[in-house]
Order: sequence, then C-alpha cells, then structure tokens
Amino acid sequence: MSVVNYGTREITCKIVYYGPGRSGKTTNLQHVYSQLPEERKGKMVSLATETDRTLFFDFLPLDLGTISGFATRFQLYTVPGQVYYAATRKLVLQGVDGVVFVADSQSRQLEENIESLQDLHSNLAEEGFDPRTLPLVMQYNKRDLPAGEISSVEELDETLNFRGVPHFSASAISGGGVFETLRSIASLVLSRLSAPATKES
Amino acid sequence: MSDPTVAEAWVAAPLRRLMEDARLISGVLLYPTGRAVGQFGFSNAADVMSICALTSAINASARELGRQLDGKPFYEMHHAGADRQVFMARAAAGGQELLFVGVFDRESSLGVVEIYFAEFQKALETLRPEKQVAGARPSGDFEGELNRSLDALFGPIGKP
Amino acid sequence: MKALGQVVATLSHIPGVIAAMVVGASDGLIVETSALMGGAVGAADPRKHTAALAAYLYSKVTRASDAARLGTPAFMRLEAEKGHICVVGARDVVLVTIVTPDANLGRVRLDMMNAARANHE
Repeated sequence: MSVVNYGTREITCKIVYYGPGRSGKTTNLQHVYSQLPEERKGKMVSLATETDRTLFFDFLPLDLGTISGFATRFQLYTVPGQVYYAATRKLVLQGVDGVVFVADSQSRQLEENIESLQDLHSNLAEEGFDPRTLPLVMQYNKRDLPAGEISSVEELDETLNFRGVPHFSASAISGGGVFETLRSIASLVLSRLSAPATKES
Repeated sequence: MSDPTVAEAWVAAPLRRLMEDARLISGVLLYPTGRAVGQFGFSNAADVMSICALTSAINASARELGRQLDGKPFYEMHHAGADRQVFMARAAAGGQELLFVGVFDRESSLGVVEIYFAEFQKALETLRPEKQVAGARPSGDFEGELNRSLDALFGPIGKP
Repeated sequence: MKALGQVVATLSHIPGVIAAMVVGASDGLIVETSALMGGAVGAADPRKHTAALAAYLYSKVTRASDAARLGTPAFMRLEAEKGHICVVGARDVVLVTIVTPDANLGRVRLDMMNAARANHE
C-alpha cells in the first residue's frame, strides 16, 4: 500500500512490472535507469540467474521530487515471468500500488500473455487487492519486430485489455514507450492518492 | 553516530537504544512487505529502499529455506564479511511482524548484537504501530504539481 | 587444547566458581559452558549476556593494552559488588568465569591461565 507519512512528509509508492517471461520487464527498468539523472534514482538491484533471467526481482528506487510538500518516491519492481517462480511473484506483489502489465506483442506469445494476466489477477486477489480497481497500465512491447510476427494493437487490446485501461505501444529495447508507460502509471497511482476515495489496506 | 530517522514515531526510542547499545553502524526496521519504519546510518533514501527490498526478499527466501530444511522458519540470520557483518532477525509489535537488518564491525560482536536485539524485541512488544489514516491525502494543487513533476522527470505526454 | 568440555569442567570445580565458559573471541557466543551453580530458581540465566559482554570487554582491554604498548593482556578481572568476572584469552576463544566474592582468586587465575596455556601448545 502507498504510504502517506505526515510526520516526515513522504509518499512512497510501489509499482510492479508484471508479464510473461522475456516480455521486456527488466529492459523497461534498465532503460529508466539509464535515462534518469543520478540525483533522481537509486541503485538498480537485479537478482538474476546465470542465464540472465530475473530470478527474484529487479528493483529501482526513484525520486519524483516534492509534490504538494511531500517527498514522493517510487519503488519500481519487476517479477520473474517464468511460471515456476509463482511464489516470488506473490511476494513482490505485496503492498503494490500499481501494475504495469508488459505484454509480448509476438503473435506466438499471445497465450503466455493471457496466462500471465490471469496469474496476475489471481495473485492480486490472494493478496487482498481488487484486480478491477487497482491502477493498471498495459504496455504492448516489442512493436519494433516485423509486422508479420506481432499481433496488432487492436488484437492485443481486445484480448488483454478488458478493463479498458491506458495502453501503450513500446519498444523497450530502444526505449520507445517506456517513459510514457511509467508516467501513466505514476499519474494513476498518485491521482488515486489525491482522490477522496477509500484506500485499500 | 547520527540519530535514527523514523517514518513512525513510536519506534524512535527503542531503535536509538539498539543502535547505541549494540554499537551498530547502520540498521533498518521494516515491515515484511519492504516498507521502512525507521533507519539509522543511511543518508540516502534510495539506499534505504534498496535495503528494504533486499531484506524483504532475503526474509522470504530464508523463511522458505528454513521451512524446507528445518521444518520451521529460521529465527535469525548472520553473515560475517571481511570487515563488516550483517545481522537480520524478526520482531513484532502489536501483532504486526517486523524485520530488522543491522550492520556492525569489530566495534561490536554477534553476541552483543543478539543480547541487545533481544531487549529491542521486548521493548517493541509493548508498543503499537501507528495506524495509517484511511483516505488521508495530500491537499493543495496536487494534480498540477504532480503533472509538473512528471513532466520534469519523464517528459510531457507524447514527447518522449 | 584439551577438549573444551574438560576445560569448563576443570574450571567449574574450583571453589567459588559459579559458571565457567569458553566463548568465541570475535563473536562473543558461548562455545562451551558449565551448568550455573547456585542460581535462584526462575532467575534469569546470566551466562549468555556475561559471555557476550565479557568477550567484548576483553577485546577493548586488548586494544588498550596494545595502545599502552603492554602487549597482550594475561588476565582480566572485573570486581563487582557481588563477585568477579575473570577472563583469559586463549587464541580464538576467551575463558570466562563468574566467581563469588569469597573465592580463591589466586587459584582461579592460575587454573584459567594454565588452561589458556594448554590451548597455545
């Protein structure tokens, strides 16, 4: 859960990049890390296997500056996409404020995207979140691949985005769409904080 | 040695006492989800967030490892490096589980840290974490300032 | 070194010794300990605290002795209202005894130093 601390005037929000294995979640964080000024970011922590797949998570702390007098910080996490790391994904989702679902646009990965999204919903529910109301943004990654290999944005939207949440085309490897996605989820999470709605706890 | 900085005031006194008695260089008290409650020895908030994320992950891994090897979660963990050592253990306050991770060097020892941590655990048991205020929110021109901050950091929408 | 169990057994049989312990010099953790003699039922067991703090204190005394160019401390005795804590370094461990006020301190000192010497050989 996001923490608004009136004593220290700090807001800390946790954003998790979710999606199937090799969809580009770590690449998103690596691009953010490479582009942000030193004073706005912490060290990027990656717990990876020898084959360079995320084993536990990637983590990047981010300083958004002062908003309404509150030092506002984001904690960006990825989860390991491979199916056998289910327990880790649940752990990383604890206390989440917003999710970026990174879908792999390759046509042959459509089934994996669907499975991962279902996995996200079931894990959120297990952690006590309402998957229908938690801030969520869809990112359709790998749009730089040849048109014959990828599903259209409309097809992906039709299949995955039944909530009608903001969606972004991206090519994380070159950085396209990465900041638009992050900005969108940041805005959703923080706007939710400022809205007078009851907060999940 | 700098004073602890705390997100929740109730923990300031016991944390300061642990820091001084056990002669710890740095330490963080956090919830198992990775949310910091208080810290000392760090000057950079991003470093604290990294420590919290890693401690949370270590706790989850160690707990599972303990369960598989010993049938129950490990109680505490200790790693001795060349110069510095890391101590990690669980505590509880008001029924809420907490984690502590501390770093010490030759100015202290594992035995000393253990005995003062036991006192810290007892002190916490009598305290109650502050309840987060539901629906509490920043006021003022929040949306406007948010958008300006996001513009500064990520660029305006449509102009990556 | 003689078996650590034998060391604590020897030291704990000296009249006036309440507890004898072999403690890790660097971590302050108990390696071997005798039973606590004459402790009140239900009273808190002081051995863990004493071991950790005595080893810590001995490390500081070693540094003070070194700073004064006196070499390694041979024997450390802390005299308190209700007894003594005696410490002798023995390579990677320290020998710690908790002793009553009326104990034969000369005998305690001699036996502790003999045990430490045996460890060096």
